[in-house]
Amino acid sequence: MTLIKQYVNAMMNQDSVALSKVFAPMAIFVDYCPKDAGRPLFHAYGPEGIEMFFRNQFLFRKFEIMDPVIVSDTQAYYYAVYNGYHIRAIATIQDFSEDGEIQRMVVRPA
Amino acid sequence: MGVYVVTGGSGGIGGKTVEILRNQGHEVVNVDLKDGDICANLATKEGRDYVIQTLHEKYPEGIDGLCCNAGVNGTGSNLKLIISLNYFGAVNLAHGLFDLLKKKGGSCVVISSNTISQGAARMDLVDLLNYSQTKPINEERILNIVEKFDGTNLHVGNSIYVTTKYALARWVRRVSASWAANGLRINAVAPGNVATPMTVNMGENAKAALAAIPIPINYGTDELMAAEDIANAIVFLASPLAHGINGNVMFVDGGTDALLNSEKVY
Repeated sequence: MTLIKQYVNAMMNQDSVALSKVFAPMAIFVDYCPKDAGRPLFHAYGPEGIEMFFRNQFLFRKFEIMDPVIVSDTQAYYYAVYNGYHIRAIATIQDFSEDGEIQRMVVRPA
Repeated sequence: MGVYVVTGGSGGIGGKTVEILRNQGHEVVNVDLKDGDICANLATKEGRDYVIQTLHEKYPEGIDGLCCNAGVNGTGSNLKLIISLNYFGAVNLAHGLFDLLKKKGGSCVVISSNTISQGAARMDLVDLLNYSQTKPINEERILNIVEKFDGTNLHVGNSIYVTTKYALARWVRRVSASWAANGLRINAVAPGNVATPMTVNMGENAKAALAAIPIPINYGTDELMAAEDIANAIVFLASPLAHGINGNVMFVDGGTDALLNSEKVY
């Protein structure tokens, strides 16, 4: 299964542990979409940080994604919900680690 | 060695603060509802006045530090108590002891919460609290407003709790320059979730909720912050070692705020 598919599945299942496993030890996750919802962008560093960050987002911030469409091995569209605010987003794997994990993931409004 | 006043020093963070200060050789006055060196209800004007008067009689030469720790969380249904104790119990006491702190160039530390950065505060009430100054009539007006809220709703209780802690932190920031110009310092500590006797016996839902507020230094465990972790920061800020620190809201939460709000550098 491709990394983007694993990423989308983990997001859909709101599984922060599975999500963290697709990222490299010094990976960077950036999501600019929250700015459109009047909030600071999401920035998380490293799989442990990504796991803890999304554990909080999934339970307390009601963050979720809906209707994902995987368009390539590095990109997927979906609707992301930030505190009830829906934004059409595109997630892009911009870089891979030497071990083939996600090194840099960027999500932007689509 | 100095003279330090700690409110809520009969247990928890306050108790650890008292213990550490005494182990360092300081004279410590524990002000608490029960088992204090001075027993008083800081949720009332009468209680605060009694403490202020007693300390003036006992320490006319001044005090070196004041640690305002006494407070309640948002899980109780008494919203007025949250306001009266958490906010006015700290601010009005600090105002009343200002002259004693000034005499010795002392330091004040108030206990806020890392929840202040998580967006649950009612900013209308924060404004009312910060503009109330220390006038009893204003405290009464705010209590009359809060009395109309649904105290049985846990979300309401939590928002009132966060409101008082946000207002405390902003009050510290606002008065800090003036206090420093008068020779004393004031800072706030914003703790994360701390292990208490209550958290040991909590239900599964409550445990799941706490687990979703991760504490990075305890990653991979379900441990909460230790009261001693918070107390050490309080003692440091109250000490001369922190001479250069004033008007600061120090998060002592094992990195939770940095995790959830990494973009808020300032």
